[in-house]
Amino acid sequence: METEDIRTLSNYIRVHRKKSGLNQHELSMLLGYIGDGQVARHERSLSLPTLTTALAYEVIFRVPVADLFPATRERAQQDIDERIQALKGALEQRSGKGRYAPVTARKLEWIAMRYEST
Amino acid sequence: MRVIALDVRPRRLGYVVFEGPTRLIDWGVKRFEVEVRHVERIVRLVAVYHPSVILLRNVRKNSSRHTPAFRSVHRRIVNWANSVELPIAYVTEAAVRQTFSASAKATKERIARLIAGCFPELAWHVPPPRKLWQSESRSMPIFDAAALALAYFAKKDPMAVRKFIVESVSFHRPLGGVAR
Repeated sequence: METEDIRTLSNYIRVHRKKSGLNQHELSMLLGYIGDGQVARHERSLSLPTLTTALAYEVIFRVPVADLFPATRERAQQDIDERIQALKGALEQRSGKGRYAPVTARKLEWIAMRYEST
Repeated sequence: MRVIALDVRPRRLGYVVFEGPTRLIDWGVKRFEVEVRHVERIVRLVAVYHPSVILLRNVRKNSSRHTPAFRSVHRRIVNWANSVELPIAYVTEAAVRQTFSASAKATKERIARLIAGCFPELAWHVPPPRKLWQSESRSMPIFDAAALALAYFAKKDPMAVRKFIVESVSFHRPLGGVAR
């Protein structure tokens, strides 16, 4: 079955909410909000939920946060990858001598292991 | 592949969004007082879901659905889709019936129950059997749109879609138990 060219949705809150049959007001109540504006904003990606709320979504729908917010996760992944490359470059430029050489080697080893495991 | 299937009526719009034949993303029915609102709603759906294609029913010219009001709405949708270069695919009524006609005659009610068997989240929308003097249920456009989408996917991979329908229906509940 073809699955190519799917541009990831920014979040799947609305999908899971509709599957559950809850309306925005009921979901807001479960999250502890007074109005349903926040849920609407989250669904339309006009604002990102706090960590507590994101975890609450995970608990409510029993879906990992990363699956509920795939675009945010992907962006975080890209940013981290870029920063790790920058860090690796900086570490490699350090001299392999001196008292910090073992810890530098350990950091480079960790970065290498990180890429191997993905 | 993400698709939006639309069941266009002069004053109503049923829509479903699928990511592949087995993943239902969104669905709904919108009622309008004026016909121009259809396109506004579709623009919002497309902005959220970025579909690869819009699916419409291929309404024959001698069909009772082919009214001036339908033609007007349909023309607006097609013009808008062309203006944003969004492809439209047409699904015929025959293709829909062929997709759902494995074991018995595919009536609208039966198709709705089969779809609800595949997607239990739609089960509560399944209307009770319609009496002759009753109007069509408000939620029927959802199932008409979903049938278009599944028929579209079945055209690409008929065995996979039919297997999905048969397995889902037999797994979730007996057919008679889906309807209210």
